[in-house]
Amino acid sequence: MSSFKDIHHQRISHMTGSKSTTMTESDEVLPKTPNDKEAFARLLWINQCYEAMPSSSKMVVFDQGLLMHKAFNGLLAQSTRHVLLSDPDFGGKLDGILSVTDFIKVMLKIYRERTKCEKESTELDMTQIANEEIGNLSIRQYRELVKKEGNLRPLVSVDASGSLLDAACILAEHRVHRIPVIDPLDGSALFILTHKRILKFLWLFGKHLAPLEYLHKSPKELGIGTWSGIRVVFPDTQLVDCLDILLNKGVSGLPVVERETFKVVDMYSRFDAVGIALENRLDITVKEALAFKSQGGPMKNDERVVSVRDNESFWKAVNVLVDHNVHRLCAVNEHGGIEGVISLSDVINFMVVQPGSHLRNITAPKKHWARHHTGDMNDKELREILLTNAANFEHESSNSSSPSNSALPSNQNSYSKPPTHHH
Amino acid sequence: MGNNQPGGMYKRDRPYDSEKSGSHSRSRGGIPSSSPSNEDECPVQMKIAKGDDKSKFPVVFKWNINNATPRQVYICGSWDGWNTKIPLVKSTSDFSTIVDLEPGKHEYKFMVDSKWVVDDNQQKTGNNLGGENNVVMIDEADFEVFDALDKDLASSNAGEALRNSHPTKESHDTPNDRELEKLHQFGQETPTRVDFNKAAAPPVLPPHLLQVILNKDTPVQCDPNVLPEPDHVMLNHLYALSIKDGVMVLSATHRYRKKFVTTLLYKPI
Repeated sequence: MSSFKDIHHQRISHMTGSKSTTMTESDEVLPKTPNDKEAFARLLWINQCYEAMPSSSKMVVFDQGLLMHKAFNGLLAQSTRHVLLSDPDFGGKLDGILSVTDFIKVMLKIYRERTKCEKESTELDMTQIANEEIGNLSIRQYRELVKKEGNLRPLVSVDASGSLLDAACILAEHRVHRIPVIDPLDGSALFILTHKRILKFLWLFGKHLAPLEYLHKSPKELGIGTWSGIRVVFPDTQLVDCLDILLNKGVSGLPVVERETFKVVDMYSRFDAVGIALENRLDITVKEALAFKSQGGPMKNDERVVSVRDNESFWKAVNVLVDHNVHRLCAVNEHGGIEGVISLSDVINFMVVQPGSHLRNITAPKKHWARHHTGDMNDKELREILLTNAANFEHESSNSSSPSNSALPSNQNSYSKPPTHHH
Repeated sequence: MGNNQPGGMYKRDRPYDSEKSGSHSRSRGGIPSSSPSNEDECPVQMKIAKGDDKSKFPVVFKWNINNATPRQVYICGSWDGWNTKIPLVKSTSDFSTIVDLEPGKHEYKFMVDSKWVVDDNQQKTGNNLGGENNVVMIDEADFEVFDALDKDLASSNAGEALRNSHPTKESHDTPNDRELEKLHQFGQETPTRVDFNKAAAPPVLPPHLLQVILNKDTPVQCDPNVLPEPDHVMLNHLYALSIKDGVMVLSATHRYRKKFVTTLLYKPI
């Protein structure tokens, strides 16, 4: 377990780019009272989205002319949940996101059409998606189909120079899990900011706020999470019904509980549905789908159920979410029966969005942001500095050489001083 | 990680040697590929790094699925006197395998669900039985890039030091200065002028072209969108995967302030 912790912390440092983040204690961040609920919101308020960027990130972009079944092959090959879409007719402008949710929609649509026609064969794999009409649509045609149904959302993005608090509030407003972060100069995408990354940022840089009193109350007392009307599935639930709930009820994961005791035995999320494409079947139960998942998946079966006791503290729940790298927790009673579900968006809404909404209208203090390093400049700025220094150097050398060497031609050599560093 | 190679591809070794068949030909040959439409025309030749046998070159053979998916596809060729039927591995939309071949002309044929067929999109020739065979020309010049890299490594300081250390696994990654320092030993002998005459010539190809960031493995626990930090010489280069299924994948790495972004673009052709 200690080696896992080491890998975990290395990953945290690497992903949040802590090597280049100059985090200084400033008065705006420190809690003002022992029960100050705005402390985490102010932490995000004074930091740019750039600070949460990995030091080296991968950005996958699909051309909208790509066929849908080839797009899903690309999603699987890159092991990513979402890709950006670019429009070649507008010079590669980014105008959408394709995610595993679209993948589930296509699978369900094909399955429903087949059961309607009562075809004998219910096998469904990538080749047969290619043979179906919807699999041979291009991404653009698929999005026009979604647009007619009234479900197409415009792309929402934030600038890398915008505050993390603003990004978290935008995620809550649009009820999405991810948002692309854009270079404000040329419009290219830098990385995709997710709830998970925001929570890691809060946990990594906000650990010194843990003495706040309200963090040690239980999530149920604080009203965080869903404690009534919890949507669950049973091991013998049909997979298509499970996917239907995932699509249409606005949840991204479902606890799998036993019928008699409501004991949590597994979780089923939208990303698990991607493996169904490799398994080639939709006419199975949730239990059979999870049996396939546990064979090939990276997590062992006992580690897939991440839960906390219903009376444990909120800060403990946050630590479990960060340690296990999951999107949601199950709160269980002493018998293992489910009592509630706590998701990433619930946590971030409570910690940041609700206490910090009023801060969005106030300009964040410039003290931290205004510190300027040459490493922070883009290529244009560096080039301008080099050219300016070169011009100044030529000017100085021509002035100094003209009195003493008037008989000789002026020095035509041209080279530049390195830019001065401020350390 | 970033490679889009089909799963299950393996290199099949021949069980016994056979004589060269046909005469030597210096013309450049293409890779056979069944392609009913122009969409999948592949101008990029899929040459893979050479194995241990220096006289043979790996060649990719592919059978594209047109209408119905066959159950079994085999390939049989003149390289072993038509003795062995090599099974092709099924991928999403094709069957493929890699065969090590000697330079020269080779004839071959596919057996698709127990029927002998030729690939109509590849070069063909008549056989003695009144039918047709496919033909492929293997030229040593097609694999010159790997010879150049091997020669660069042998002539460089890194190659000289590695020759004494017997590395466990062969790699085209050039070791950096700190790795080289471990291989050398410090002593008190003053080097003579003759030792400095062995200075390495500059490499024919830049070694950093092989340090592709997307080919490096990342741990499973990591976010799949997080990559190792690139060397600065990798920035602003364009990399491309071989075109497969009519999709081209391009990538480039740029700096944004102190951090780096590697963008992959999937584009149909």
